[in-house]
Formats: sequence, C-alpha cells, structure tokens
Amino acid sequence: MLDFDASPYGAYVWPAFAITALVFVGMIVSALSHARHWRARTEALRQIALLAEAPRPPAPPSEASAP
Amino acid sequence: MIPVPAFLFNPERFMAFSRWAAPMFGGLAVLLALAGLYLGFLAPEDYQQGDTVRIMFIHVPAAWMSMFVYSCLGVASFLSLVFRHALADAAAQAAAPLGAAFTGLALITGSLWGRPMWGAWWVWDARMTSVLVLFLFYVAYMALRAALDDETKAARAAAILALVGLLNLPIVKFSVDWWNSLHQGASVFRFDGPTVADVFLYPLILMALAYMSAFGSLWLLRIRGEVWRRRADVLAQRAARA
Repeated sequence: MLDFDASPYGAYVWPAFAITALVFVGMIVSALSHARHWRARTEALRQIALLAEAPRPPAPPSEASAP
Repeated sequence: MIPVPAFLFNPERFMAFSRWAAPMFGGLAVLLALAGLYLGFLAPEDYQQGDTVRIMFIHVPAAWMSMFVYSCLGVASFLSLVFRHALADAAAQAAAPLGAAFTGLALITGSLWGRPMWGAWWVWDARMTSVLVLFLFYVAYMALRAALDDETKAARAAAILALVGLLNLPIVKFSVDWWNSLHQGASVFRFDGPTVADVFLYPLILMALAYMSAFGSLWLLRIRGEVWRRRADVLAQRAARA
C-alpha cells in the first residue's frame, strides 16, 4: 500500500518533491522553448535567404510597349 | 576512435539521431520515474529517519547527476578545446544549465533532508561545501560564456575553466572519506556491494535511471537548440553582408 502520510516530516518531504517537480518543469520548458525559438528563427532566415537568391520574375510589359 | 562520438561528430547525423533519441529518452524517463516513485512510496518508513528517507529518492540521484553532468561538460570542453569541434562546444554549453539545475536541486533537497535529521539547514562540512563549489563552477562557466562578446574566445576561456573544475569532482566524491562529515560514506557504489536495503535501493536506482534519461533527453534537446542558434547566426551574418 502506498504511504503518502509523511507526518511528522511532511513540512520537509513534500516541499522537496515540489521543488524537484518545479525544477524539472523549468528544465523542460527552457530546453523546449530554446530549441523551438532558434529553429523558427533559422527557418525564417532561410526563407529570407531563398527569396533573396531566387531569380526575379520578368517585369510585366508596360502599357507603352503593349501592341 | 570510439564509434558513437565519431558518428555524432557530424552535425547532420547528430540532428537526425537526436530527433528521435530526445523524445525516446524523455518517454523512458517518465516511465522510470513513475516506477521509482511507486516503489518509493511503497517502501516502509526507515526505522531511524522515518518518512524523510523518501527525500533520498530525489536527492541522491540529483547529487549523482551533478557530478555526472560536470564530467560530460569536462569531456565536451576538452574535445572542444583540443579538436576545436563546434558540436562538442555546443554540447558543453548545453550541459552547463542542466548541471547547475541538478546541483541546485541536490543542495536544496539536501538542506530539506538535513534540517529534520541533523537539526541544521546547512553546515560547512566537506561534502556540502565541495558541492557548493561545484555549483559555483557551473555558474561561473555560464557567466564567462555570457560575458565575452567573441564567441570563440568565450568558448575557449569557459572550456579551460571547466577543465579546472574537474579537479573538484574527486574532492566531492571522496570528501566523506578524507574529512569528518555529517554525510555517511558511500553506500551504493562499493566494492563489497551496496549496504542499502533492497526496499530502498530499487526505487533509488530506478529514480537515478530516470534522472539520467531525463538528462539525456534534455541535453540532446538543448544541443539541438544550440545548433539551430548557430545556424541562425550564420544566416543572419550572410544576410547582413548581402
């Protein structure tokens, strides 16, 4: 049977588990947000570079040169 | 050359490997932690320490990880310094915040365990002081990297600092043997076998494996983020030149 009754030491045991959970959540959120942020930034810069390197489409004929 | 690091030295291969390995280690960590916590709360109270013995399942793996992560940081720093390998440098940079978090966790949970058992939140005994020094090495590593604008110089200076900090690891490990300490001596990794009762040893080992898997997942994820950041820097510099 699981024993969740930590008395008389609950004031020490539960904060230790709570802080551990918080630290793990912090590590996970920080690692995920860091990776996602820089991946999105790289993709955006790559798109800009591709657009800059792409050959420009020919300009549409002006009205003066139209038959 | 060891095959796994050689394989992982190629950034493209590393990105392909870590894409599936990071979530796999993360899932494994969750399963191991659930099993470890289940057995941990199934275990009886310790006859001397009462329910505070359950803090062992989160404190001891954090303390082990604080040293293991620093070893990874040291090896990656050595490879970065000697071979100038960018991925090794990214690995070192990615390990530091995780190591600092594990070390901080070991100090805080240790303090919460020490207060009811020793009657003090903190004492300047050799083990606790050397772990505090370890934490300061992590913080100094991150601060040094952040302080220098030239990333190459920052990486080199931080790598040297990390290698100096390796000297602290045997002090942490053997502090309980070399000096009088409130901490007990080694009770798991011993030549004559563990002295911890099986009801406490099994959840402890499961939780240690869970911490290790979580670190594996988070480390890979942070290295991936670092690789993306460096690619973004290169693209931004190219765009600025164009």
